[in-house]
Amino acid sequence: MATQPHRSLTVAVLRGRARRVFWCLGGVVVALALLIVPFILEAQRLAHPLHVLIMICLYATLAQAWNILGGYAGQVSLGNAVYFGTGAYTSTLLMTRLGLSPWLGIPAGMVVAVALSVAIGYPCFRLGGHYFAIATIAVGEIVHTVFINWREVGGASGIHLPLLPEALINFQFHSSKLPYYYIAFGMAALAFGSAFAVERSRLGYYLGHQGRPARGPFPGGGSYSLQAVRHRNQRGPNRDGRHLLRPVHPGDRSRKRAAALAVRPDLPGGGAGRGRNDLGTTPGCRGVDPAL
Amino acid sequence: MTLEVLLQAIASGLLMGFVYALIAAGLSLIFGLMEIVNFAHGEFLMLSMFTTFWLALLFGIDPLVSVPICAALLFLLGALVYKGIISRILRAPMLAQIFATFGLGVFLRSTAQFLWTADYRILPNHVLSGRLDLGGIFLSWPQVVASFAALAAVLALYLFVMRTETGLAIQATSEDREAAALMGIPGDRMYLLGWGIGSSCVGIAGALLANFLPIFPDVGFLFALLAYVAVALGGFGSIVGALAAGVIIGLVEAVGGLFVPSFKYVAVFALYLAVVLFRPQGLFGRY
Repeated sequence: MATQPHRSLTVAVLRGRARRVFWCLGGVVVALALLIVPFILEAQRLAHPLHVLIMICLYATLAQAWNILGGYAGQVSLGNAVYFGTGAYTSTLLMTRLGLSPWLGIPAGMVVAVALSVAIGYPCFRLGGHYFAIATIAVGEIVHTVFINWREVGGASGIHLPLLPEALINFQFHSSKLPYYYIAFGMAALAFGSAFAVERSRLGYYLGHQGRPARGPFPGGGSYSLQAVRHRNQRGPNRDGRHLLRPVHPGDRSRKRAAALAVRPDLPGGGAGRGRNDLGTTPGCRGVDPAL
Repeated sequence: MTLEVLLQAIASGLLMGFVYALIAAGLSLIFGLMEIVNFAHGEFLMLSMFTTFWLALLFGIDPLVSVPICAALLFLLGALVYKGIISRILRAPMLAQIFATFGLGVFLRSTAQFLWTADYRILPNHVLSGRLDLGGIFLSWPQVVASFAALAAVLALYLFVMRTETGLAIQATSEDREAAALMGIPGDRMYLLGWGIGSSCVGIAGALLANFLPIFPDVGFLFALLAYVAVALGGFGSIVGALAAGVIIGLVEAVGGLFVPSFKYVAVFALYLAVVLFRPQGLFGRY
């Protein structure tokens, strides 16, 4: 009689471990396939499927960036295109005006996007739920309008990147799209890695707590600074990719992209980096079988 | 800038404001009832405008006549959306609720684009035309009629919710669905009614707007955005708030447009953010 609970506990732990091994193995297989398949595509001269793979990596990155705020912390931002566009504009301007390599432009874009997101997030996190979602749309539209009318950065037609010789330092590759793919892949890996890091960190636990839906105007009140931290974090690795989409124009930051990336993460509970939605919202139960 | 120009802007702003108020009132009713924001509201507006357009083109029905037709059709659409989608996500997390309607909006917009292309269309000839001269202030008749009809619809909605027994039942359901059920009020039917009425508000607005605005699949986005802002500014669930906020937005848009034409919506959204940051529940909000 007394051994019964122990046995079920052991079974549960083993089952949890088996599941984790299964997911890890699956992840490794997928990652290997993602590394090898583009080579085959390149050898077969299949440019379009390669392009699709690049866009998959880009969207996965954007989705993961959104997931940290929307999934873990439960704050729905419909204006993330602002930060995507900020990164794109920063590095493009640095290149066209100062001739800086995009490799310097990317961290610069990250810094500017983080600064902007903190400036916007700090007041906006006073709002919760639908009020926050609508405020982010409003901010997105304001920034969109400002950029359409901002002559110095190209106005409504945007800025075109000059065509430079093919080189890693120029972030331009004309004979093959393979380098773009591996950069995009690395970017996506970085995004997933930081989502994992957030999930495993103390921050992730705090965010999971934040993610519980609360009523009233101040869900999770008193935690603005924490939410600002997460807001900042999410801007992390999603900055480039626009060198592939050559012209940078205000449409980049339009609601269409926001919609595209907002819709991507797994919907029901949101949260888990691996698409399992029991982790993000109840981090305390991680790895423990619900059968307990 | 002369006083005349300013008065002209204020008059046009007021007129547009009533239409914004009607769109926002429909949204507000639905939110007040079940705390779900219909992110497909703009697409409902677009569908209503296209309905008006096709009725006029294919059957020669004047837009004014199609106002009640659109109201009825959109009532049906709202009820269908409630039955098919919303009733399944009533207890779902907020994320799922937002994206269910957001996704519906994307779906409707893309379908409209697929069926009718992204071209701008204008209703060719209709009964309402010409302009009204108010001692130097010129207003187009379609706009005047649209705005007063919209105002009448908002007032009718207000009276319906506040004065009729069904309206009281809707209010009771929005306060506490379980307690209302104990009093014999069928919550499900009230939700259905709320979605129907909220959608027919936007149906009326769409038929009225089709008189003087171009019709295209994306037309709803701006109106819906202004309606969200109006609802959040006025306070979710408050019809009076939606009316006041609609008028404020119309005025800011028109008067702001005089000073900074290309930034008039920046003025609107900035005003909204400023109000909401100091008063998160909106001007007339309960939450």
